[in-house]
Amino acid sequence: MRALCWNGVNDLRVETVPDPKLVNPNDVILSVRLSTTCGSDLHFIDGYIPTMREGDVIGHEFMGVVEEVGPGVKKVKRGDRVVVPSFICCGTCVYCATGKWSLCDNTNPNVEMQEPLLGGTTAGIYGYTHAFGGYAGSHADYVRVPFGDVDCFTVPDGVRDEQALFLSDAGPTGFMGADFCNIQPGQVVAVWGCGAVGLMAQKSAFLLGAERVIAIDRLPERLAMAREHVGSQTINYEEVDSVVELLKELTGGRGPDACIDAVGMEAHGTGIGAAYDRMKQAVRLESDRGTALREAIMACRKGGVLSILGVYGLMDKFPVGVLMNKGITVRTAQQHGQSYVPRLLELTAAGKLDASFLATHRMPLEEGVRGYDLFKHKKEGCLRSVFEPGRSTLAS
Amino acid sequence: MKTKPEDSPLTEVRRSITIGRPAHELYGIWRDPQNLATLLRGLVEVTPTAMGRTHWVMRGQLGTMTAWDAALVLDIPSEAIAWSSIEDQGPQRELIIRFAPAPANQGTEAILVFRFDPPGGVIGEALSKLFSIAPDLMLVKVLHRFKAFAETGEMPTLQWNPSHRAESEQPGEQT
Repeated sequence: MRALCWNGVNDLRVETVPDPKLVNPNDVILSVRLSTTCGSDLHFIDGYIPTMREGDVIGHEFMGVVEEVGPGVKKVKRGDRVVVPSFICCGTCVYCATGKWSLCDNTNPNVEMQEPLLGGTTAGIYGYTHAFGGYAGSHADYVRVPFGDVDCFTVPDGVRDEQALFLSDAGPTGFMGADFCNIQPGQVVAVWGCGAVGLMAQKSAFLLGAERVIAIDRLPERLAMAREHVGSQTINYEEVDSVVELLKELTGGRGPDACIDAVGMEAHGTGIGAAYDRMKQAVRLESDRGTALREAIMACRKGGVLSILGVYGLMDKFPVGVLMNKGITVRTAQQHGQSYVPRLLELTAAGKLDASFLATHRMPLEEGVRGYDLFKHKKEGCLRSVFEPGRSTLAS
Repeated sequence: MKTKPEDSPLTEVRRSITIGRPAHELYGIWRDPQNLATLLRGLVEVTPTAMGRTHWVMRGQLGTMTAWDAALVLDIPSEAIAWSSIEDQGPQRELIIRFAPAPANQGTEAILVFRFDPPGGVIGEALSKLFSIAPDLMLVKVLHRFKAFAETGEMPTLQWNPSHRAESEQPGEQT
């Protein structure tokens, strides 16, 4: 089959690789219909996080059609059109059973690489680093999905492929981020980042009852999407003296009741803090640029919630004292997608959510390298590149 | 965790995991020689020999190899199993698995202990000859496989995992 592979820092290529096979009893093989870029891919493409291997098939946000099922699979059938969350979950362990899906104990075959880095282990992810499992990803004609009955969600007939695609990751990640905020009537939620996850967090905050949502970014086309597709107020942080002061002003001096960070380790920013981070990151002394997160902590209302969705490694100058003195509750996780996908599919079928506007660029998988170039450098207004792998039948 | 047990000249590493299954079931998994071989796959090759004994082969980095014959020296249903090397002259090795109930119906706490006579020379360099990965992380890997197998009936695997590497044509890139 054809697949988009990581061959080194900033070196992606579409290659011919072997087809996946059913290995474990609960495996499913999917023919991928759509697969999209994610900001977290940039961390290993740029070489900020370790344990990639040359030749890895990347991609973790996808939907497709079931081609083969293993002998243990009971519910999922050949021909089912399904969306799959990016974290692989067993459905049995105590974490899955209590809704903390991305902490699944039983799906990472490379725990010995991850345990020393995190002091614990996470679920495996498709198409990510080997510390996170090393599973082949979804930017390919076919992908092996372990625990098919747990991780495949049937897409209702009324929901299009492009709407279902983002319910694999950006949708549930954003929804979880808003869910963490425990939004009450009249509350104001501020969201740093108008990438796909940030936009979905904003939309979800409204769906969960927020009075107002304020979105912060620097790219005019993304801020326009936040206004037009979501209904957020927007702040271009490059055009204001102080995001924190403006947020206070917009909320009667209180600050936002909840702040969601949907930016992560490669935040841009202005001022001395941003310059310090950028210099240390360039020489690999620090993996993160934390402008957005620091602003969120300063802006947040006393007793409010800080919901962190951005992916971070190690950060210097993290204002723990501010969190403590302002009594801020921090909620964070990688996406517990399996908890949210059914609800998001229902909302989509009911016409209350349509994530397809995130797909600004759609192209054949063969153009995957161009797709990442557009996405990484935010060229031509690119928010997300969406790949369409070939639709050939599985070679035996 | 790495210590030198008071009553033994051997170096000891140990790790624990909590598994949502009863101890008698977990004991049964380890007691089956075929499961033992599967749990240790890629780290130690264990093959049954005569009279309930087993032959163990462990590969270190750079292809170095250590082998020993072991006997079951402790076998208490639902509580503990231990395998120990039987020859005084060869490498001294012990593997012990113990089970205890976890609080509040969380299942069973399993602790896996590996004891070995440390090789001479610079300790880090010498260890890499014995082990393919650090000995405590080897235990982490085995315990997670064990938990996955006990709770789901399968172990996470990268067998036949597609990649643009020659080895992905092989069944066992890494398991």
